[in-house]
Amino acid sequence: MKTAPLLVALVVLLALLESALGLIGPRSVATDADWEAAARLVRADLKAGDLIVFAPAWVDQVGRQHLGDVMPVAMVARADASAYGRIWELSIRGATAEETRGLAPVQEMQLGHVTLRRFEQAAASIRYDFTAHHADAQVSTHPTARPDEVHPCLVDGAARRCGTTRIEPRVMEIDYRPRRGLLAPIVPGETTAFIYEDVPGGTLVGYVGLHDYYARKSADGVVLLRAQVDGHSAVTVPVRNEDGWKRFELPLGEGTHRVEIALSSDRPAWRLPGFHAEVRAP
Amino acid sequence: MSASLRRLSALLVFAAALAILVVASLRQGNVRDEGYYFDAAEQYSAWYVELADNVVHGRPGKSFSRAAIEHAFSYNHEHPALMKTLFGLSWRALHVCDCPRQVGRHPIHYRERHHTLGLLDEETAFRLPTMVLTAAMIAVVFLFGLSLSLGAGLAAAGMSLFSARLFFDAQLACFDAPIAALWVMVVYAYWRGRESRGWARAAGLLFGLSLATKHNAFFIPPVLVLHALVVDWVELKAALRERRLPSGVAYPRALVWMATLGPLVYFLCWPWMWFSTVAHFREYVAFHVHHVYYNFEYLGRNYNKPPFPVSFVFVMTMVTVPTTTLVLALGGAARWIADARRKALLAPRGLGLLIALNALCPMLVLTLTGAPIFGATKHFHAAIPFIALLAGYALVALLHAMSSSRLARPLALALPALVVLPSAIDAWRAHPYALSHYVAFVGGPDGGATLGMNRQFWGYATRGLLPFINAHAKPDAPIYWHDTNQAQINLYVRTGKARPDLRNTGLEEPGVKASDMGFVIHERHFAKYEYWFWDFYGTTRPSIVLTHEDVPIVTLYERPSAAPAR
Repeated sequence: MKTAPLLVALVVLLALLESALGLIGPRSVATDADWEAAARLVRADLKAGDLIVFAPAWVDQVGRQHLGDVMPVAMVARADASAYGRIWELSIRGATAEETRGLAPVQEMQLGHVTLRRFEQAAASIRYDFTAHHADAQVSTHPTARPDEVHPCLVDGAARRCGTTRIEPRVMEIDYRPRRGLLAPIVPGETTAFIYEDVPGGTLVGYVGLHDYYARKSADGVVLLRAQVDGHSAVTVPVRNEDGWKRFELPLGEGTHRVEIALSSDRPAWRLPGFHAEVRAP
Repeated sequence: MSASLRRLSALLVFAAALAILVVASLRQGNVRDEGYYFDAAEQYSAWYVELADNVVHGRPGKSFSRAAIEHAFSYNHEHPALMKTLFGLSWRALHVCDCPRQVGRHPIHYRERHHTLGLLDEETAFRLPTMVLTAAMIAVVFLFGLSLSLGAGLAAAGMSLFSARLFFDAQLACFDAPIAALWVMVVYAYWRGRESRGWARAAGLLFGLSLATKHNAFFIPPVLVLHALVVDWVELKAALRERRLPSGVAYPRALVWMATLGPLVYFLCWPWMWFSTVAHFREYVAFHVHHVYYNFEYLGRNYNKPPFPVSFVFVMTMVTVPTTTLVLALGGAARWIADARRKALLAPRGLGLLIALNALCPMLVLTLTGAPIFGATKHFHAAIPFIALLAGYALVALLHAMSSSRLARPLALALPALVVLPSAIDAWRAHPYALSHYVAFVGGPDGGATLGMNRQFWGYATRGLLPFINAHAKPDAPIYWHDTNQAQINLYVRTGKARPDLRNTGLEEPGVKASDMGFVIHERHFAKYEYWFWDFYGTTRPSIVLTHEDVPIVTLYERPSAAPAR
């Protein structure tokens, strides 16, 4: 057979190439020293309001082992990256973080197998953080069919107790990613309302999603987030299992406002919605 | 090759495979299911030890009461008893015993040390039957391959042994490698049984043992019946027409033994079935038909309920079986079909179909039944040896085509070794974290993580953190062990791998809250457990991240107020 020598050569080549890749692969692993060298450079020039990200996303834990002490929960479980003017990206294997896509690096260094890049962008100015101000909010529940029958939720440390349901600022798992916000499990038959007074004007940027893979596996009821501004209905956001971290926006005029965010569901079993919102300067 | 030389060669292959598996297993963390099986093994084997004692004292009936059987075999009755019994008997005979001092770490209280040979640590003693069966399977693959050539036999044996996922399971006191091994042995016995009454009887016995190992065995007979129908169709049709039994090799004596001896062996190996047989069998079937849907990440999506992707078994095979093996197997299958068409086979007639059917059917079972995918490749491990045999046929065809070349002799020596090399490197690279590992052309573990493939399951990577935990945990430290169950921890303590004073704070959020140290084993759906550490420990900085190459597999946190200054 004339093709036999060629086929043998191809098999030999394939086996050698696969073997070589198998041997070379472990050699391109980023070492602790590589990560530490990159972390030292970040620390030396880190400023308040900087964001640190890792790429690919799956290497996040390794990155935080070296820089986690300067990465508070608010940064790691951020709603988005808009509020950060400078972004430090530590990456391996040529990956880029979603936060830096479309940005040009202003600084780039190679530390062994870790690539360190710094990016700059126009940062959104945050005027009001609804999660941070959760203690100022009036939180209550009322039967969805009887809005006037209000039951205040009582303070319990950093949380509120609405009957047996606990509402509190948490890091939630929404679409398998960390999101800082207010976790407000649906009380069957009730609507949970958060009323914030004296909210400054600007653009209200909010996110809502369903916490906990097991809850999402166990039920599929739609949760409704309704927002009112100064007593007027402003937006209704339906949230389903597959929606992830769903964004909504509301323009708030100048001056201060009364903002009410309410959560309810016709099918409340295993519904663990959470939301985060902030007012950004327009 | 003479029959005695074949047997000796197979014995050498068996011994080499067993030695490799035993050595590898010494670094292998134990898995969640092993935890349950370790406990079951002790309980089941205790019944056999007690039976021997009762026989010696002339009261064997005492062991066969319903109460005695249910006391011993009710635990973990959702799987047949054979392997757990073998794990237990191996443990009972071989382990280094310090049982009376390990109060509360065994499912049974022992007042005295067991009289054992004291050859192995407890974990290895439990696992030895799996390793023996897998090594026997490798020897059978070698014998199967010898039908083609010595090189094909050795290459197929090597590619089977070093297929990283099968290599992983072959070290565990679980059922997935054993059922793959028994599947291969049944097929071999069926094949030999076409011409040998002894092998036909062996097929029946082995089929019974495979039924007593795991329910995958129920899918073996349809494959063999299909093979017999195709290969012996002419004689079967004639026999049917003439209202007589088929003659010669077409008489399906192996299938007859499988249908008769098989169920009997199955029943005898599983004492829990001896009472309320129908009700118990129904319960067993119902457990598997309505099995809970665990989570499994596949191509970036977490699947935990049907429908499951049809591509799953094929893509998983592509990304976990070395590419050289797969390319050769595809080539071998194509060549085998072409050779069969032009009646120029380099192997006995019917063997190619038998191997091809068994390479495909274990995969199709999952695809066609829509069964849950949470087991990664372990539910169709039986396909791998047959894929390797198809690769062996390609090898034979290549060497045959080159037989007149001056390179024929060096190629005959080098090529079988060369095609096994990628598998051997892959198994070495994957060990001991093979469930996080993907083949070189996919990019290894990093490539798998980037593709969004399952990072691992079964909580076995905990072992990699034990040195850190032993060194850093305070005395009596409350620890959140995540997906590691108490039986796993017990064996780690009994074998000296974990400190005995370490506490287990229990499951879920209360477990994390109550702990001062804890870890999350990375699977996509386990993300929330890591966030609980951030909330309750007040830090996002892990103390240590266990990685397979670059990929995090377990991340450990310490409560800052409880952590020693470093």
